[in-house]
Amino acid sequence: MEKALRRTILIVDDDRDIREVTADALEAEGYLTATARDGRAALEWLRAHRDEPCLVLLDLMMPDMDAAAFRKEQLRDPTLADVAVVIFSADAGVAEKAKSMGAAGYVKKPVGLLDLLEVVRTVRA
Amino acid sequence: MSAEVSFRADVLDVERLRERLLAFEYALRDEDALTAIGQDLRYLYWGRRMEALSGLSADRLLGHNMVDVFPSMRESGQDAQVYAALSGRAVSTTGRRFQFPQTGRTGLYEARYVPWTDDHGVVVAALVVMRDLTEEHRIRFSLQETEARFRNMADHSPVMLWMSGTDGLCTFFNQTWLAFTGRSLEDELGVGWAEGVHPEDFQRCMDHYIEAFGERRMFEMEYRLQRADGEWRWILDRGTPRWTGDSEFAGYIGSCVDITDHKRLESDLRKAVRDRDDFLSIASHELRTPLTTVQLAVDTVVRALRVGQEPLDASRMVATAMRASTQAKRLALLVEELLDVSWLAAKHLVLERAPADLAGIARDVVGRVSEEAAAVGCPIDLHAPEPTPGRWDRVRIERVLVNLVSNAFKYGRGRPVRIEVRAADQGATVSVTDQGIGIAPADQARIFERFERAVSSTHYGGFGLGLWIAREIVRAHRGEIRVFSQPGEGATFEVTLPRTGSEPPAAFLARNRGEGN
Repeated sequence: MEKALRRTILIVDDDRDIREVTADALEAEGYLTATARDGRAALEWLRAHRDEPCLVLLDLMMPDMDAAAFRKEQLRDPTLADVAVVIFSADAGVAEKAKSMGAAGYVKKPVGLLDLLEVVRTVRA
Repeated sequence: MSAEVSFRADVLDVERLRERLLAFEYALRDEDALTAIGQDLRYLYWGRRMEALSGLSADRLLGHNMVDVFPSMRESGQDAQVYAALSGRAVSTTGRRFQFPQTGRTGLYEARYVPWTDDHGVVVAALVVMRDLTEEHRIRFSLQETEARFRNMADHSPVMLWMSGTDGLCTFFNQTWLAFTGRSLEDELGVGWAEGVHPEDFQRCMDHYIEAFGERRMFEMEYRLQRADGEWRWILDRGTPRWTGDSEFAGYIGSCVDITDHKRLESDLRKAVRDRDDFLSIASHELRTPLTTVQLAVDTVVRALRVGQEPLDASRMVATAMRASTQAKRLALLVEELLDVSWLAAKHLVLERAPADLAGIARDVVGRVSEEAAAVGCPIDLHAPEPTPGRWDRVRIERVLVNLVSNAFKYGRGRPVRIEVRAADQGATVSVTDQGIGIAPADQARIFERFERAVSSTHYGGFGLGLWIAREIVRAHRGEIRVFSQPGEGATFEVTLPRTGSEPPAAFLARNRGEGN
């Protein structure tokens, strides 16, 4: 449990309210959080925080750079490729899309807090 | 011939003649009847079939003179044929009538009169083979009649009909087909009809026909055929093999129906289903997003209170709970939009007109959206100096304004939104102006259609129906909605509402003056 708590959770979603409420919920559990509004901002943050162990909660559809494009860039960079990614989306096909992207897991919106916490706690890259 | 010679010929040859004729008769067809007449014009042979046909037995006739027994032979000239054969010439007749009173049988016959020679080459008798044509005639006649009936039926059929022979070439097209293509039967026969098939469909059509034909099976194909007026119509052509009574393949018969309208309908339906599916997929995503926030926010507050987090940050929890509240309102708006669409789709939009003031409606709307305005950083500037009365459905007009203002917030780039309400000659106008990304002229008509946006749905949220709903409501009020915009220069949506749906403006003004408005 302690090891997981040391992970910073990067919340990537174009909806500001979701970013903020998710960050609040995770911070109340003792996690460090960061937010980004799309794939591009997410990559920037990851590159700036290479040494920090982290988990990415990734929405599927975002303007400018969506999940698929982000994943492609992430996997191309050996220093970022190992970062665990959990797909966090309202999309009906979230399970298959998460699998096809090689994500560590997925969470379907809307989600109860306890379920979200469980995934964040247990997922491995 | 001397009597002596003839007597000897009679005694010597007749029995042998009869034996041979009996055997010969078995080789003939069922319809053929055999008789033989000697040089003395007496019957030497009267076959079994002749007995059956005539009702006269051989022993009554043998040895008797033919003209004595059948005087009518002289009248009909049949005796001449016998004389010809007896003199060595083979002759035939056809289409003559026979009549046997004993059996009552009558009909048409075909006969062959052949000289019968002995071993020395002397003609000793005339052989007569008679064939009853009546059945054949009846069949041919009834076949002609059937053919005529078929053609009559075929030509009156509302469906286009065709027939082809065993070689695949077309042998028949009914009037309905010829009227459709405007070509003559000669033009269409063989493979002439293929000239009317659309070049893009021609090869596929031919291949399909030839393949089915080769396998003698039913086929169905669709292709475009040119109508007499030049228009290409989609045709459904169904062909089936036909067989003669002997189970012998005789070619194909087929029918064709114009399915152009049907195909258009089908394509419209498919598009409608695709649109609906797209909409449902967008709708479910758009509804789930605010729900996510509501759920997480509420769960967070509950958890904090339950596990007794220390220290309890009340202001933070209020903020979180407020987030849930705002998102719930957003959800409520989306649900309204969804319900409006259902109402409108079912054409159930019945306006509830009542006296209302457009300026007052605008003020209420501004109040309702003030929170959202603050959230997106788009201050609202309302300019409604004078009362603008009319008879409108207040709830629906509010919906129109809310939709226009929401759009302005969405695309307004955080810049002020101006709302203006003005009285006009025939009614009132309200305009909503933003300073956002603007709308390209090419998109300006499209954005009012269902499921259309000038930008991608994933970027800006909502169902993309706000403008369509607004337009439907405005139109129901017999009003007008227009957009003025250039890319990068914001947009102004202007709604013009006639004061009432029915009252002539003059009467209204008169009334208004009376009320001191």
